[in-house]
Amino acid sequence: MSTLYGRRSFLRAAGLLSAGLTLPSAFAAEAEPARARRLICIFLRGAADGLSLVVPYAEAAYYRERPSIAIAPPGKAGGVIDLDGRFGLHPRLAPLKPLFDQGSLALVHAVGSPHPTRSHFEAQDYMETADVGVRSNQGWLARCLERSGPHELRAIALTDTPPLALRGAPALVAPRLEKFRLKANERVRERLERGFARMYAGARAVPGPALGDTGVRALDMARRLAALPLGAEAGDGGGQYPKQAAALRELAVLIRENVPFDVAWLDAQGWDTHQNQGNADKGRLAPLLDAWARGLLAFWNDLGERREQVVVLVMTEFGRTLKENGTGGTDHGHGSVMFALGGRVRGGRVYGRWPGLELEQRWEGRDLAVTTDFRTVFAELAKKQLAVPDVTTLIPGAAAEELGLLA
Amino acid sequence: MACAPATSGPPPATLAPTTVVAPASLLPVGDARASRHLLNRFAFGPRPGEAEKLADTGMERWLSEQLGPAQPASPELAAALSPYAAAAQEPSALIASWLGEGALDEPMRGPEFNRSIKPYFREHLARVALLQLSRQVLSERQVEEVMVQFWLNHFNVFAPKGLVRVLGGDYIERALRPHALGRFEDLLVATARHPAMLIYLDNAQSVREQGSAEGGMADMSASDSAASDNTPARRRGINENYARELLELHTLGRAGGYSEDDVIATARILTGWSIVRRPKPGELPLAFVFRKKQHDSGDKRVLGESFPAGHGEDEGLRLLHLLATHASTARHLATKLCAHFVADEAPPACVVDAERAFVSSGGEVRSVLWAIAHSASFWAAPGAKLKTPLEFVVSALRAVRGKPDGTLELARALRRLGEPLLEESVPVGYSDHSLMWLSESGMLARMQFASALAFGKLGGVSADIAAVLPEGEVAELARAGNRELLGGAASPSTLAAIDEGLQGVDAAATRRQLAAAWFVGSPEFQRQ
Repeated sequence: MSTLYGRRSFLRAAGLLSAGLTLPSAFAAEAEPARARRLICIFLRGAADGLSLVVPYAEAAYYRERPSIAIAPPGKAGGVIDLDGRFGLHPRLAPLKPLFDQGSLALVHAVGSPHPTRSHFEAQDYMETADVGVRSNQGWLARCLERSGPHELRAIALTDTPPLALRGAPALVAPRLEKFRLKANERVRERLERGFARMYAGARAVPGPALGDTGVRALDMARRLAALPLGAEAGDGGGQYPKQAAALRELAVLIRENVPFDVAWLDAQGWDTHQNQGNADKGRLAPLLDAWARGLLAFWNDLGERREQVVVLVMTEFGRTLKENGTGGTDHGHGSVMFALGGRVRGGRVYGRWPGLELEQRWEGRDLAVTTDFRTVFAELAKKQLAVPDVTTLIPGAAAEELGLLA
Repeated sequence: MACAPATSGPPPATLAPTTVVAPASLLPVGDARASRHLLNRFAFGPRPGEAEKLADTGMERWLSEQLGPAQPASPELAAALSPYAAAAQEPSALIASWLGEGALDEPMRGPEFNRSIKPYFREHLARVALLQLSRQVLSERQVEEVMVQFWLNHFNVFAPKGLVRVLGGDYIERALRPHALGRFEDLLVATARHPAMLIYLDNAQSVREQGSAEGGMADMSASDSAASDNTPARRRGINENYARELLELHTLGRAGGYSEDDVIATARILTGWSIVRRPKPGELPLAFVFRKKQHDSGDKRVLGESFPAGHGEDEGLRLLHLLATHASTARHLATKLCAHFVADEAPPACVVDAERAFVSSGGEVRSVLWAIAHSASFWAAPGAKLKTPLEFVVSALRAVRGKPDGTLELARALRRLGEPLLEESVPVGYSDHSLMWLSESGMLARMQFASALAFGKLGGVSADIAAVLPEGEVAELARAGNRELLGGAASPSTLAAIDEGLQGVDAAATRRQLAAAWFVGSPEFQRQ
C-alpha cells in the first residue's frame, strides 16, 4: 500500500503539507537551466507497426507478406525515405528526416519485450513497470524518480488518468494544463478554492485512495499554472501543432519557462490497426504518423537552445504481424521500434541488431524478433538522463552493455 | 458464509436468489450507515432520505426486489426517458430516420457512409449517454442499472469505430440490459452475436484462411453468399482480435490458462460470424448472420476440447458454452465483481463466495451479487473505493434530486470528467479501480462539477437544491448538508472548512450554494 499511496512523503519533503494555504503562487524557476535533464515519454497505445514506421525495405519477405499494405522502396511512388540503405522512414514521417540527418534522432529497431504475451494490457503493464512477467503496481519512472534529484514538480502526465509508469510517483496529471482551473468569478473562486483546500488537507490522513493529497495538489498546481503563459498564442516558437499533439505545445512552454520537472508522459492512441492499416497515404496509419511527426518537429523547433535538456522517447507495447491479415491490417506481433530524440542523443543511425524477416528468422515463425530488450534502453536513459545511481537493481533484466544512445 | 446448497446442474433463471444462496440474516438491520453503503455500491448512491427509509423497511427485502423480475417503468421514469427514446431505436430504423427509407438498400461503403451520418452521429451518441444517465439517476431498478454499466465496460465497444456509431444504443438495450442480472452465458452469446461487438473487435471481417476447409456449398443460404456481400474476394484470412479479448477479457481472464493456439483456434471457430451489410429480401440490415462460406470448417481444438469439422455456427455456440462454464471464467468474473462492489483488490473470502455462487447457480449473475452483498468483506468496505466519474455524476444528481432536463448537455460533463459513454477505445473498458481515477485533474474537475451544479451553472440539469438544503444560518446549513448529502459522514475538518468558508457571506442564497458545492465536492462524497 505504501507504494500505491506514496505521495505523502514527497509532499512533506517539498514542504507542501505544512505550507497549507500559504503556497507560493508560481513555480520556482529551474536553478540551473543549462544542467536540467528531462525525459519525455510518448507511448503509442495499441501496438504501433514498427515495420511501417521504420521500413526494412531491403527485405523481400516484407513485400511478399504484405501485398496490399507494404510501403514501397525509396524512389518509388509513395516510397519510404531512405535512412541508411536498409531502412526507410514512412513517407508521413518526413518532418523527422532532417532531425535524423543532423544527428538528433536515433532509432532502435527490433526492440521489445522478452515476454511472449500478445495482450495489449499485459504488455503495456510490463513495459510501464519494466518488471516483465510480474504483476506490479509501481511504474519504472516512479521508481527512478524516487532515487534521483529533488525537483519540486517531478512528473507531468498529459493524460486523462495517471499512467502506470508514473504510478506511485508525485505527478501532475492533466490532459490540458491551460484548462486546469476552477471556473467561477474571481471572488467566488477564491472562496471555493480555500474551502476545498482546507477540507482536502484535512483528509490526508484518511486511509485508502489518497484523495487528500491529490486534492491539495490539484488546487496548488492550478494556481501556479495560471501564472504561466499557456495560451495557444504562447506556442510561438514557429511550430504548428496538430490537435493530437497539442500537449507537446504546453510542454514546450513549461520548458521555455524553466519550470522544473524531470519526466513528462503523453499517450498517443489509435495504433491498433487490425484493419485498413493502409500504406503511404490511405488508411489509418498515415494520418496518425503525419500528426505526430509534425507535432514533434514543432516541439523541437520551439525548444531552441533547451534541446540539450531534453530526450523524447517514443515507445509502443509490441509490434505487429509481418503478414497482413484478412482485413487489410495486421494483428498483434512482437518486436517493434523506438525513437529517441534529443540534443544529447547520438542520432543519425538505426540501433539494434536486425534479425531479418525470413520465416526461420522470425519469432514464433510470424513476427519480427526482439533483439534489444526495451529495459536496456530504459536503463540507459534512467542513468544518463535521470541520474539514477543504481539502474541495475532498479531495472533488472537490462543488458549490461548499453546501446550508447546518449553521449 | 454465503454457502450454496449443492445442486446438480444450473437452476432455472427465474429461481429466486434466496433459494440459491445465503441465509437472509446476514444483511444488517436498521442501520442507515449500512444501508447507505449498500446504496452506494448496489445503487448509484442514495437519494435524500432513502438510506434511512431502507434501514426501516429492510435491506434484505430491497435486494430481493432488485434482483427479482423487472417491473414496468413508473410513469415518472417513462416521462423522463421519452426525450431520449430515439437512442434505443433499432439501427436500421435509426439510419432510415436520418437518411430516409431505403438508404440501406444500396451497398454501403465505409467512408461514404460515415460521411453521410456525420451530422447525426455525435448527437445520437449524446442521446444514448443521456438515456443511460436518466435511467441511472431515476430508475428504481438500481442494481440492474449498476450491472448494465458494469457489463458495458466488461464487454466494451467503441462507438466512433465504423458502424458501431449506430449500434451502441441497441447494444446496451438489446444485448446487455435483458441479461444484466441473468445467466452469464446468455449475456456472452448476446454480445458475441451483436453487430457492435462483431465490428468493434473485427470478427465480422474474420474469414477462413485461403486453403483451409471451406463451408459446405450445399448448405449455402441466401444470407450466406459471401462473395456478393460487400466482401471483396481478396480479403481472406482470420482476424484474432475478438478471439483474444473473448478469452482474456470476457471469459477466462489473463491467467485463465489458455495458449496462443487456443486464441487462433477460437478465431477459426468464429469465422463466419458476421453481419448483414447489404440486405436481401427478408433480411434486416446490420443484423447478425452466419456465413458458412467464410467459416473455417476444419478440425479445431480449444482448451483441450475437440471441435470436429463441419459443425458450422454450432461450434461457436459450443465454444461460448465451454467458456461461460469454465472454472477460470467463474474465478475471473467473481474477482472482477468483488473488485467492483467491495474493494479494488478483491478480498479473497469474497471471491470464494462469489465464485461458489457463480458455479452452483450455473452462472446466474443475480446469485453472485447476492453472495457478494452477504459476504463479510462487503460490510467492512465503506469508503474503500473512489467513485468513478460516472458514479460521481449520477450520485451527485441523485443526492440533490436532480435529473437530466431533456437536453443533451450533460454528456459534455461526462466527457470533461474523462468518462464519456461508449468512447473508451481499448477493449478493457473504463476501469473501476480507484487509482485509475485518482488524479489532480480528476479531482479539480469534480470540484468544478460540484460548484457548477450548486451555482446552477451546470447545463442540462434540473435540480432543486433548495428542497435538499434549506436556506439557513451557517451552523444549520452545515448540519443539514452533512445529514442530507453525506449521511452524517463529514469529517470534523470538512465541517470546519465549510463553517469557516461560510463566515462573512451575507447572501443566504450564496451561502447555500457554497455549502452545496463543498459537500458534493468534498473528499467524503468522492468515496463510496
